Amino acid sequence: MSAEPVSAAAWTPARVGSRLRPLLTPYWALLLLFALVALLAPLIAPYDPIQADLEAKLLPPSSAHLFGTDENGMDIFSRVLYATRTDLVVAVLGVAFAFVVGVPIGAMCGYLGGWLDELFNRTSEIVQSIPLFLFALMIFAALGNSKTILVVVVAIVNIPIFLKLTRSVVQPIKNQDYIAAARLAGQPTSRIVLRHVLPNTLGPIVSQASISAAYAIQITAGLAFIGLGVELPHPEWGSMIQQGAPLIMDGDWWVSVFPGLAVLLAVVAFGGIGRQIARRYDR
Amino acid sequence: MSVAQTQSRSVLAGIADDPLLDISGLVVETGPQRAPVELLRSIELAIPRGARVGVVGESGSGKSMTASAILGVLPDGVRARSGTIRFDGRDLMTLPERELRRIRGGEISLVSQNAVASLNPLMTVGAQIAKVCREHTGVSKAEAWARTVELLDALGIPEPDVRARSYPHHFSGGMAQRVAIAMALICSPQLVIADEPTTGLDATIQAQVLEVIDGSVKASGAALLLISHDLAVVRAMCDIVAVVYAGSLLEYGPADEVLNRPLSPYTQGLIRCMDPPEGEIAFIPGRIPEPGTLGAGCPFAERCEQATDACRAQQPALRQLRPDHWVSCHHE
Amino acid sequence: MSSRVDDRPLLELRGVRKAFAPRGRHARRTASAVAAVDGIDLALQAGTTTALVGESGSGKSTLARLIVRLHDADEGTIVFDGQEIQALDEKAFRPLRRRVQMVFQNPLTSFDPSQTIGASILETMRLAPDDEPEQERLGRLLSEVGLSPRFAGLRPREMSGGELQRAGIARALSVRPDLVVMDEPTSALDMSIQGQVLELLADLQRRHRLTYLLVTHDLRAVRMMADRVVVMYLGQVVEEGPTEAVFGDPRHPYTRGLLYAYDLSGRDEERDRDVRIRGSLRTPRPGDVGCRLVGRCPLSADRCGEPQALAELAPGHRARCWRAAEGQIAGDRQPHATTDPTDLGELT
Repeated sequence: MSAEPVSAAAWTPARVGSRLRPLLTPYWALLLLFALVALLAPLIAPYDPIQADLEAKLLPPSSAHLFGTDENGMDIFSRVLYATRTDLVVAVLGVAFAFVVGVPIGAMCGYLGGWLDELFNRTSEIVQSIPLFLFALMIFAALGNSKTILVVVVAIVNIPIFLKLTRSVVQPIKNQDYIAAARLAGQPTSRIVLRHVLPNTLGPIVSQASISAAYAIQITAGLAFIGLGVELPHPEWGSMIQQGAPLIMDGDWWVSVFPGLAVLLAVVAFGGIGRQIARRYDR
Repeated sequence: MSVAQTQSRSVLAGIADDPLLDISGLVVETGPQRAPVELLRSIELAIPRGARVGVVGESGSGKSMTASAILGVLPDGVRARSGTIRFDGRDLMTLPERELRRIRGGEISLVSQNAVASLNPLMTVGAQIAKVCREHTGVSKAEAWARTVELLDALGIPEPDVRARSYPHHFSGGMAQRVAIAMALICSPQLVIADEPTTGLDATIQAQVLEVIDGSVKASGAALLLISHDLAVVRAMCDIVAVVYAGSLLEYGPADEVLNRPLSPYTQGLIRCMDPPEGEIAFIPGRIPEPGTLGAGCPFAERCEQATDACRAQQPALRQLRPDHWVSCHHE
Repeated sequence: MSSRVDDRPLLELRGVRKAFAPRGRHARRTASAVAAVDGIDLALQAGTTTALVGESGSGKSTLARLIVRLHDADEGTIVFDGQEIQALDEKAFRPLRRRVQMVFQNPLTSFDPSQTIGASILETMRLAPDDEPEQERLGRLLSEVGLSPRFAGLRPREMSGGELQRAGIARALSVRPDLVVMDEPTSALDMSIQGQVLELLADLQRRHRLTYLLVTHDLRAVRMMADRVVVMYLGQVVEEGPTEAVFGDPRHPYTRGLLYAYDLSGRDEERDRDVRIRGSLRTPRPGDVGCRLVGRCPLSADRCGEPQALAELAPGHRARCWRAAEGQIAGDRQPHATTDPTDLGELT
């Protein structure tokens, strides 16, 4: 039997995968579906998502247009498919960035305490006390309105969450005997945090990641709803919902409902995965 | 391997006329129905009225599980498959939850290891104890409070009327245990079960708490079932000793008999560990078996230096080799 | 192993003090004036076993952790094999880490649950690399503590308490240390297993000429293993000496009270009156300079309010009590104390 030490990288795809494998459920299937759609959108979409066709305005769902068309005659089905790329990418990238920044800092804060902890705590609290949309407005105003900045906004909003969560799961571990043993083995703090602390705290953190992804999609959609982030006519679920909102009163329900369903399903998928992982760790 | 008992009284019941509690053939298991893991393997026990019975065992012995079974509070996934637990004439295994709730706290009470953890942190200790008193005896609030303060005083808590208005986290180890003991005694139960009541406490505090238990149980006339991994505690407190190992009862009898003239090789080993001869480091070789890994024979056979093939093949029955002194062993 | 010219102690502590800063407003207001470790002198001779005995609040665990430099002392000197180590920073101290190792109390938390036992042991072992191939060395270490080499591939949850303690010992010994500090090595184990681990430790000590510092509340283990006993109370040493002397002829009222408390079956009224330690821990307030046992000690008197010094009563046997220094306290192993009752002074 091998007695080789475990790889130093705490969250290689293999390790995360082996922990998550027992959790294969419909939520994962859904997520996989979304990923495939995002990847294959150009192949699946029957129409060009930004091709306007004023002859075909506001057509209800039919065999020619599965989800109908919007005010500009653009096929909603194609737009929903292409929008998956935007929303999913922003959510995943934003959360990944927040994870990569927030988790190590949170781990150091939790492990070392002291002024470092105080500093990051206060900063996190300040960031979190600003209302989300106000905060987003500030950033967009300062840095311009684009998809990249949108990712930045999503990331910054989530960093304090990961920081605090990591901190709180790291604190009870730092006094464990095996950490002391690592110190007695002359291990430097950074290696102790990476090799011993993080692997034993990943559960709740990974669970939080999926919940944050769900939240990120809502942020993206919400911001697009008020015109920030993704610029028209690029398809994005939130802006599509916004466009269709006034049309519902006229009976043209499909313009908002289908993108809305997409958001719902994505949030359910991410959230469900997050809750499953959390349940596994509560036991 | 369980031994089905057709009689409903324990063989040990012969130790006294009409014992307060006797357990016969109790089998407790966990895991899936078709492949159960036995935690208690047809265990026997008898507690005469007013007696102090100590159950001593190491991890996996089932000693705490026995207490849970008596109180009807087995954990999720653990079930009592067969056997009887006769308490004051009634079989506790057949009683509905409603009845058991009345018995718990009222006729059988429990003092557990970490007292503070078993108290409600949001209520003052006096309020909690008085509530238990009222629920089981129906007396007025004022009367219940008076009894509570009186009992706290008797248990050596200074300024009892003031301390009764404190919250559990204000009490330190030894004092907290006294509060737990008060909770257990307030309704004058017939049987007090103390499950590792002093484990984790400092030696000087442990001695105090044991004295409190000793004095208060004696004063109330209740019977005591003391569960401990520490043979020295059992020796100091009990008149009857039961030795359990891996879910089976190996020896039972008066403390003087079991501790000075032990019949089971396991008991002999434990006694040597407790009081090693000068210059010797005493232990029993081997490791304690995991539940579910035992075969048909005596659970101690693997570690016993006197084990024979007969020992490994068949679990010995409980035999009375001396007056009131039973042992489960193939050897004399 | 270093070569040592004279027989100076392997480890020497002088005036070591460590206080933990209270956190939170409430804690600060009610904070004790007393440091966890409050001015300790200690000397360990190579090849011996010294036991640190005390109840909660005694500071014995903190002291153990100061010795292995898991914490830094606030004051005092720690001299290891002639070298002062208390002021060294982690980098300077690292080469010495292989000479001082620790075995922990709780087998369930002394190993990283996300790694195999082998990986954990290797981590420590690499402090002292040598020519022997790692895997072979690992296998040999495990065999030496009575575990099959296949245990290297197991995770902590797949092993029993006793096995994990053996693995912990293997880990500590993997670097061939001079000093092994053991914090309650058998307290979390079953009674029939405790002796196995103690026997193993005794055997390893003989074979490798190890020095042990055994921190424990288990007096049985102390009797079986220790050459010297140091009894601590609220951060101070109250009695120390050869084991037979301290246990056979205890001089400090706390030691007597502790032995009495352990002797559960030896209760009698007279000893109860003269020997039993009453009440519970009282943390002294700022300004209290006297004996910290006042209020719990059956022999308290006014004079106990003055600072008490550690006095030498017999070669190597010291106690911190004026009564002991004046020869008022004889050993309490027999039910009847041999002191004249009128000598016991006023009891508060």
